[in-house]
Amino acid sequence: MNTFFPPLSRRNFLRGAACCLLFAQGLGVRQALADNTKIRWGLLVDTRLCGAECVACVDACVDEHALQSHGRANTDARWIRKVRLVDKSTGLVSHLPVMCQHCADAQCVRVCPTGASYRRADGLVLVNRHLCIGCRYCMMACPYKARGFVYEKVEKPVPHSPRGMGTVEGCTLCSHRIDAGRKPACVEACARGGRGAMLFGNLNDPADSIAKRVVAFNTTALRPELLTNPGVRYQGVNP
Amino acid sequence: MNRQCVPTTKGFLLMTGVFALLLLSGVWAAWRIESGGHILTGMSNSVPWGFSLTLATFLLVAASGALNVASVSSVFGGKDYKPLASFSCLLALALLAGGLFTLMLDLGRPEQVLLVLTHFNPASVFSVNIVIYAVFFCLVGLYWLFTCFAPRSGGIGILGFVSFLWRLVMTTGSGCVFAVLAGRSAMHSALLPPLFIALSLSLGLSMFIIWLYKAQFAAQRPFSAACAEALAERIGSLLAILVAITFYMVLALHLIGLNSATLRDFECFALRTGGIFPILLWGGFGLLGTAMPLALLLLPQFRSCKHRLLTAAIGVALGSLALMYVLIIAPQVYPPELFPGKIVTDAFFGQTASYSATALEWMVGLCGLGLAGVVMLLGIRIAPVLPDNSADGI
Repeated sequence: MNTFFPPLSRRNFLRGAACCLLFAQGLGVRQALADNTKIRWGLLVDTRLCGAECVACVDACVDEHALQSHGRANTDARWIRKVRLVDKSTGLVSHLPVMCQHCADAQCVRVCPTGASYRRADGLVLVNRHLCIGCRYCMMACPYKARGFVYEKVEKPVPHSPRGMGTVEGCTLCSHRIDAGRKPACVEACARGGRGAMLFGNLNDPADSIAKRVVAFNTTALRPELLTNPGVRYQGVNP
Repeated sequence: MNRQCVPTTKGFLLMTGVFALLLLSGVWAAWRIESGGHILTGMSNSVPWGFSLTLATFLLVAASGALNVASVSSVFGGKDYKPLASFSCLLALALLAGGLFTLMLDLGRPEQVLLVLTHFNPASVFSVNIVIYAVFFCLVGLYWLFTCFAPRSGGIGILGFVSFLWRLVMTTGSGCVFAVLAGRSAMHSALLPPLFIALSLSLGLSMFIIWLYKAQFAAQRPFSAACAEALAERIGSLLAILVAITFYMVLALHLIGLNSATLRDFECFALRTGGIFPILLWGGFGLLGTAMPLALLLLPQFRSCKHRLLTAAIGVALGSLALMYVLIIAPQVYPPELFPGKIVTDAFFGQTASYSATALEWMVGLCGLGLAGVVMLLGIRIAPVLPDNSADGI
């Protein structure tokens, strides 16, 4: 008999398997396997082209996902917000949209107690409404204030964008459109009604124009010190 | 040791009625919020955690600290505290049940709470805390049964020691819920878990004293002046030390913040310009929760003051609640530093958010206190928990 590898009983095998599973879960192996893909969808926002008065992306998002307004700014659903920045030292004014940054190391995914916040293999960070218990821990954890809570009854939701009172939500980067081979609504609206400040593409494909621009120009991420590795990048501003 | 069940006295029925009312009104408020939406609360997308969660955290931290007396009796050999160990365990269980109940009612979808168990995320502090709370329930539940029905058993020492260690783990877990939030720099501090431990010690002991008085009222055996003074002598100095430790931790947290370039503005907000927050911090925690209790407990001129221990304990509890409110709400209200070196003109990202709790939130928050009260009263009614003060000389 081989003394180094004694015969394995069923009980010991199951014990070992359970330990391995727990260990793998702890190390984030599941995430690493999920990331083993050639696709990572991302956005590049050129703030030099983002107009002061233009809210085409915001309007497109509201229309696409049927985010009705109740006239209450603090609780109304807004998945994209336009921000105006003034540099304290130079006075330079810039405008940019802020939405879910679809981070590689998403804090919302990390803290969610039920796994309702999850990251798809293609890099999109989404919320599974069936699993969301409405604890709002992801809202607290998000460094970009990009998550919102559904405070009121949802009237006439659209099938591709399920929403429910008492759950958390955020920008999906129009995953339904991406799955159908189309661009997010905000990107299309920016190209159509704005000045084409938003570029959508695969950050992991060196031949994609977004990947080329991210390499060629000095693009930045919001709150880079947190090392969340966002999928949304900005050009022309140093946040 | 002579302990007995509390008979159904007028005081007992009155207190049960009050706590049951708090509990039922909280459940009604939670139902209203669940059917009408969280728009009925004062919370917003800037302040997603409000007063209900603050009160839930307050109760969870107090639950850990309520075990102080039991720990002193079985871990640190304080024989004088032994008659009160059983009540200490029962109170810890009651407060934990109350805190968790409030936490559940505050959810957007409380009916889905069991998903936390079926879809466990080991990376989430929330999930891990659920396990920690469950183990605490089992450990302290067993410990309580031993103190009630087999106080001379050999296992009680081991259970006491393990419970003591576990309560430290539990309070660390509660502190970590906030401390791990790297995106909120005002909360993201390694000092927060030890601060929560210190707070749990002082708050828990003060809650123990308050609820012991309540239980004595329910049993219609109010403390005589001599008993109250004996209790003040025995527990008062311990409470004073714990209050001083908590104050030191809070002082360290703010001094470090004031010397940090990224936190200085927030500290100015919390300590000076933030409206209700400086009032709560200086007046609530500093004056009511620290200076007043320390003076009552330590200065000789207050020694003749009747019920000085109870007054000090109430001050500590209210001060701790004020501190908890500042620790949890102020970092949410204050705008995050999303764009360092820039002025953000957008209201959502650049301006201080407003928050005030609605009546429904108060009711949901106080519901936990109601449940804790009902559990405590039920416990002293069915089990020999309260010492006969004439025999034990408390």
